[in-house]
Amino acid sequence: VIIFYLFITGLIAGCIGALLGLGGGVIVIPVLTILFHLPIQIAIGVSLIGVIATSTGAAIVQVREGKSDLRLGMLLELGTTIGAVAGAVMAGYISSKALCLLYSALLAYNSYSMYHRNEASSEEDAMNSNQDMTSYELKNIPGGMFYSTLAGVLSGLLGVGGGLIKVPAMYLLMGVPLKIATATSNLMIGITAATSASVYYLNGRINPLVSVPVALGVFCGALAGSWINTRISTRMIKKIFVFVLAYISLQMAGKGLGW
Amino acid sequence: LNRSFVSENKIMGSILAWIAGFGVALMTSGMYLFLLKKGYSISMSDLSTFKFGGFRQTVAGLTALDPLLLMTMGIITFLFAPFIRVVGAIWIFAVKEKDSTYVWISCGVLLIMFSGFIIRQVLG
Repeated sequence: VIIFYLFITGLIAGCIGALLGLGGGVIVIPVLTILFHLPIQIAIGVSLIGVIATSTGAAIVQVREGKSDLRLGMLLELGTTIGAVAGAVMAGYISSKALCLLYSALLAYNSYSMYHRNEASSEEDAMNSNQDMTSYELKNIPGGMFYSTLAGVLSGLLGVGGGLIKVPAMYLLMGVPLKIATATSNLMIGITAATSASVYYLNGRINPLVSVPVALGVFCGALAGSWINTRISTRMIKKIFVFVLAYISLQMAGKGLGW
Repeated sequence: LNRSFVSENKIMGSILAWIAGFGVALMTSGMYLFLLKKGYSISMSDLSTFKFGGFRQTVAGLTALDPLLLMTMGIITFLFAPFIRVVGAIWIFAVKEKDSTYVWISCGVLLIMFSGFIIRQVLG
């Protein structure tokens, strides 16, 4: 029965992740730590496998469509993979409480950026439809590398994909069209997560009994979410989730502070 | 942009699909065998205390159809997919694009990815 609950957790996380453009980890980690009372280090390992599963599924489609910028992706991955190894090693030395607090801060930022994106989405949609997708000049490459490295550290430390940092860095800082930035971020996420996950795997922090049902759920949920996404408006769900994420952030902060 | 090498991307997409399919098959069969052997009597302590072996033990366990090692091999297969993506990028830059700068950049990425395995050995 527990395995069935874990599968359902992954299914919901994958579906919501695909609907809202979030990584499944944002839901998986709080559920595993708050409801299943698993150590956050194990939850992070599970989340990384979920991230790889989602990213591989998305890559199968996106690589064929050729939407991602392979050169940009590989260039930024130099920083991201270094950050991912550093973050994954650091996670072994940081206490569970500190990780919960860091995760709480990440969720609060996620909630804020989702609120901000909701407000600005119609204006951005109009802008993006006018953007040239075939030629663009990259700006501020050092700045992009810095934020990519930071995204890698967060991926290794907290088991997230890091798209929340990479996409705005590419779009706002480097002048990459949003659709290409999103596809390139998806290409990068799997590579980053695999780098972090290899450290977690060798440290015995990836538990197959938990990871497998969650990863299978996330994989199926992400497929279902992508299918639903093209058929319904996600504006209202996004508004609700701004508050859900803020609430989970408070719960994780409470866990970190030992309340 | 990589729109100019669509045929290579299709090959890469197919390879990734096969890897993902193989990983899902291993995970599902491992999970099915586990539930058959162990039944549904799994407690929360089983989940949090379990530790699994390294790569060699996992490969050896495959022949014995050990459910947990089958699941672990499924996870390793998924871990392997992004490595293939980087190898594919190196091949595209080396053979199709003949762009040595990006061949070196991609090789650097692959090296850092593998360093995750070495760093663990160094740090113990």
